[in-house]
Amino acid sequence: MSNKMLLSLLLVALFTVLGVSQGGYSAQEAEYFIISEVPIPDDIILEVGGLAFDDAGILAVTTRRGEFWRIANPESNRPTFTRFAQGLHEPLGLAYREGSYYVAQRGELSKITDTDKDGRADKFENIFNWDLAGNYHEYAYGPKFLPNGDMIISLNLGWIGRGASLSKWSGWMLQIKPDGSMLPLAAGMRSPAGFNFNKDGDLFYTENQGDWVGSGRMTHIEKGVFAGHPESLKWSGERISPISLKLEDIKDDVPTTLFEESKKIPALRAPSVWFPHTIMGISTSDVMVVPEVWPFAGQLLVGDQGHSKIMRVFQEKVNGVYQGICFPFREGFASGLLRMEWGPDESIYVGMTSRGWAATGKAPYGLQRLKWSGKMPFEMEKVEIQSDGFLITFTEPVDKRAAANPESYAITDFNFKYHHLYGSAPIMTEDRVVYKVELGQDGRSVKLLVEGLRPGFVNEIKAAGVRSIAGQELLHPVGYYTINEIPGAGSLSGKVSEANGEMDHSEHDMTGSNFVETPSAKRVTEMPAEWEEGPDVILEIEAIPGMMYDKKIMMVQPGQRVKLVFNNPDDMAHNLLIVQPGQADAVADRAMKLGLKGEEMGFIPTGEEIIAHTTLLRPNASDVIYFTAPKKKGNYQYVCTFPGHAATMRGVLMVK
Amino acid sequence: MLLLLTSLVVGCSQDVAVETAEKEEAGLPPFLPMNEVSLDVLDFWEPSGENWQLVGGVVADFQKEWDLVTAEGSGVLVNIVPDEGKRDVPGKGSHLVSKLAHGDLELEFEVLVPRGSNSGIYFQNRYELQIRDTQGDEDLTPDDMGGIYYRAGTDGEHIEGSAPAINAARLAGLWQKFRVMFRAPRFNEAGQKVKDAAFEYVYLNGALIQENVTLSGPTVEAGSLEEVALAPFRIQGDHGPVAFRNIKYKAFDWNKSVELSGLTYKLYEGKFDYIPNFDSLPLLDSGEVVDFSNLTELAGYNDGVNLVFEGVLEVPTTGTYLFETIIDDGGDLYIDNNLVVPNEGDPGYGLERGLVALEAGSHTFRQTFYQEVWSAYLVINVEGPGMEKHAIPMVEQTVEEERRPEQKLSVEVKDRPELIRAFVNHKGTKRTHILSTGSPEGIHYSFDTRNDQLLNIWRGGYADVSKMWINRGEEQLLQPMGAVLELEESDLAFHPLGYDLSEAGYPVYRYQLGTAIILDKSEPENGMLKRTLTAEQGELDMPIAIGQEIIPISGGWYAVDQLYFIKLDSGEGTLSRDGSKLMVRVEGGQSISYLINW
Repeated sequence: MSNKMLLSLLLVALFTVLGVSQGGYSAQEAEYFIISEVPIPDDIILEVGGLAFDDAGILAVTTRRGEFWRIANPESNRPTFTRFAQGLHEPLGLAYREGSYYVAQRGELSKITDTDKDGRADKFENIFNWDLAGNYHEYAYGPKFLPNGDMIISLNLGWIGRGASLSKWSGWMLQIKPDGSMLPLAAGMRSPAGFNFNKDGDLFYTENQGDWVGSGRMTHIEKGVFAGHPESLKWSGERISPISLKLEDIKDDVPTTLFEESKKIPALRAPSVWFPHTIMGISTSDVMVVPEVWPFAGQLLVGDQGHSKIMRVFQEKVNGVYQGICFPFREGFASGLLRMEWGPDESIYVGMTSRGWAATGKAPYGLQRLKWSGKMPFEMEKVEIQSDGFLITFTEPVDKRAAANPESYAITDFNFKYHHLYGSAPIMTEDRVVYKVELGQDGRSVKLLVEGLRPGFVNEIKAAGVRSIAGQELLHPVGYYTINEIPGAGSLSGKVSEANGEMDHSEHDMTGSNFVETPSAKRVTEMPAEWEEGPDVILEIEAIPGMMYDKKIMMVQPGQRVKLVFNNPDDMAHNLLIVQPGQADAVADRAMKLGLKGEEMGFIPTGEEIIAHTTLLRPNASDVIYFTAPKKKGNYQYVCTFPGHAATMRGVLMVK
Repeated sequence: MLLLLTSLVVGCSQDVAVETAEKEEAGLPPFLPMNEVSLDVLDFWEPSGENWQLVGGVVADFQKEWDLVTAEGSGVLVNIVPDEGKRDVPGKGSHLVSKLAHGDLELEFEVLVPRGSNSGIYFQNRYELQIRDTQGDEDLTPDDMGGIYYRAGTDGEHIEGSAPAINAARLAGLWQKFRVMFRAPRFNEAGQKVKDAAFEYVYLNGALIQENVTLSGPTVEAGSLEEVALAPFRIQGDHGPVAFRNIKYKAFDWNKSVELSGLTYKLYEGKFDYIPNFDSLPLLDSGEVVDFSNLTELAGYNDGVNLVFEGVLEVPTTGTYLFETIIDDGGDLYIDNNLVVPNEGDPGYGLERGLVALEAGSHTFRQTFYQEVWSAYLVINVEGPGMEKHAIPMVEQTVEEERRPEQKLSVEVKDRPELIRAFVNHKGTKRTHILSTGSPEGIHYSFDTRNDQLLNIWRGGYADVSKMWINRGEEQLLQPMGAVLELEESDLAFHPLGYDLSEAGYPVYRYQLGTAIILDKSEPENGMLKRTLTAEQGELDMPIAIGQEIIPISGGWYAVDQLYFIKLDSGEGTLSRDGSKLMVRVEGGQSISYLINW
């Protein structure tokens, strides 16, 4: 091992220890689930797009630069890397089956084989290909195999200041037979980077926040399902389309939620689980079933690229409809987590990249392993809905006094807007009253009786007061349960729910500006009247792709009157806070902890160390602020406090 | 830290122009057309020797010294050297000098250089761009094709000069394309030079070979050593035969611009997602402004901005003007109450252009503007006769900033071929299913894996992947690091089956048409590209060269549109009756192969 490699390993280890920690759980989580490195040689840029094991336990990795590596003994300290192939177009998926590999490239589903067994692929078969408009955002993912040998792939929307289906089947999931014949399966996707089957063979895909997508989410996919982003409907008129819905059938001219619309539009399917943005993650990725030999067997794990972490999902079927709850599971991975694969050594291999989309894990790419320590964490194992509340089952028997106390719990429910704008803050947020707790006879479950459950809403369920019999606190005291159906209430599908599901239209203004307005004395948007001569200096700064500002340094003189123009032509939201020297991390950390209120507040915390700030800017927006430069010379900082951005998106305001 | 003087407005318009490239295909091109030098008569030039003639066409065999055969007609300018074939007696030919005296000059032309021949273009009769048959040269000097020639030192020794960055030259006997922006020296009122002459760029066969090369004075054999603001350009005629065609230029007066003055605004109430009828709206505010940089500021940073700007345009020269508006959300440009550029701005921003004939003098200007939500901007650019495209009003803004050096990433080939799949440009179109192969021999090619066509071939460096593998790689383009030869595609609708890799690591493409299955492999051979076609099954007539005119020369070689040469290595070829296709039959498990040289 070279020194450089050793150094990079140390750095990765350091980041892991220091906790590129989101909720601050990393250290406790490490007692149960242990992250370790698969060392990568210096000269290999392993920006992981796809992972697959073959029958011999060799780990195959496709990379965003189009390379295909095979890694022998990935569980050891000295894995062997062999370049198996190259020349693939950003392959973001990989599957192994009967001696061949299957890869979704940007424009082609390919079968790749080493026919002469010399360790290098020599046969690249074109199974199926599709149109591309030449937009970088037209990614393709997969395949996953159905039991009959058919393959599922998913196609991303392009990006032109909004998600756009620029070529046929962009925004769709497709089913492709080994002979290359194709039938479209489902539509409404925006950025469907992760999909997989649950233990019962049902297909779920994860979605990223964006236009028409209020927050990260997971949707149960069957033939003919429309998951919500209307752009894909451009192609619903094609002969083989299983969906007859038209682009113009989807409207957001009156305020609405996806759930509410799904009751009017039968093909539109509400998500089974929402992942509240910035709280549970910012960009959902891969999905996998927890294997039998681990705790939480049969549940799902969902990765998050931007937050470098894995979440856990328990789902149940109520009135034939999937719904469930997501929990934090394990954070602190080294880079942007895109892929997860179960290895023969009974650990989960995690493939990562953060190029172009920065992540809390600072490494540009990486490959790590997650092992179970053998200890069972004290967690909410599952939460099931009841006609009048929730049934929580814990992983261990509970302290009865604490568990029976309604004050040990807090429930808040909320929803998201369904609109063409980018993302949504939580809306219609209300506290739900836990009026009674019944202890289960098994000693490790409780039933919470809750007033006024609202279908279509996400319920933040906190059980912070619960202790195990041994007096232990929950490793993760919170989860988010999405209600589509309430048992005993009869199926809600096909009828608009009454009182409690209806939207309070007074609460949000769909015609309003795209700025998240953050009233604050530190955001002065009109030139102060006493600046008769105008500003002394005009600074102009812009967000650029890769979560960066276009300027790393700006200079002003002490006490100068500054006009600052901040433009955001990027495809995600950003802000800019000017803070005291050395305070960028502290301020960003506080922004991260604003929780459900964060988005509404533009991720702008309060505090002395903040000198001035812009509002949170949607894509393509700009803001102008006026402030007086500090009188004291020094290297002040500016930073974007949108969760996950601060590490790369910062600069120095030199006052001298 | 760098202190840069930049025009913010122009910078902005360039960014937008890239994003709206698709729109441009439909509307007016971004610039006024260039002036074409007529090659039907010699009246663009001062009278010269008889060695300069107009002909209908030329053919030059790349295997023969100074070979140049002409056909009667016009459209091609040739220098016929009297002492044909005698290389040791140069100097017989006279030069050709334009009547046009130019300052800044944008010049495009095609040139065909016979084997071993030499010429040159002297901008302002003083600064030479070298033209010479130097294809394949490895140690490049200012004496190579596309070099900025040496200057003479005090003792007549060669000093300065600028070698081309890469060897982008084609083989003798092929048409090669130059695109040059020359900047004349600038002088103050006292006649003192305040800025050196410069070549802002020189492109040869599509490759950038010179960039921002300044010249401290005239080069060797300049017409005069005294530098001036205006002078003609000269083509060298005393070093051998040469042919030119498609000579186009724009001569600019750097001092000339359209001025916009007395700019006022009126702000109206309302919020629209279309251009409103301003006359019917309540007036909120009015006043004077200097430019369009503070649109939302005028409306107190609220969304819903409706503005009408009015002013006076001073036009220096009578002629046709191209106006361009880049607006978010939209608005219309009127001159003398005539609608010149409508711009609805859907969705969000829009780039639109309009042409208008204007007399020299004052004209009324009116630009409407509306914004519904999100960002707001308005940029107006204009180009006119003798005037470079510029923003109005001209805003010279001082911006102090740290420019991050542009990151570069490239792929070099070592001992086995390097394969990269990417988007690749071909004849002005971004192609999306392209696999490129880089060879250790330095001969590289791009192949469309979806319709199975050989698209691009180039020599030299392999692939610049900066636009793919840095950050998101938004353009997702592989950029060849050499001058690209772009081939014509056949209209056969192949069904792609994929490819195998040969023992040496080259792709062998496999595709189907009807019952025929073809194997298709390209590999370097002796500095050329050798392509082999094999019928795995069935039989197929395939064009191996497509063009306007395929001309047989000697030794089995054909010149295809005089852009490259092709020769069958095995098998028989048939030239179609109109000379536009060279056909081969591929059948019965047998292979045919051919060589491409350029």
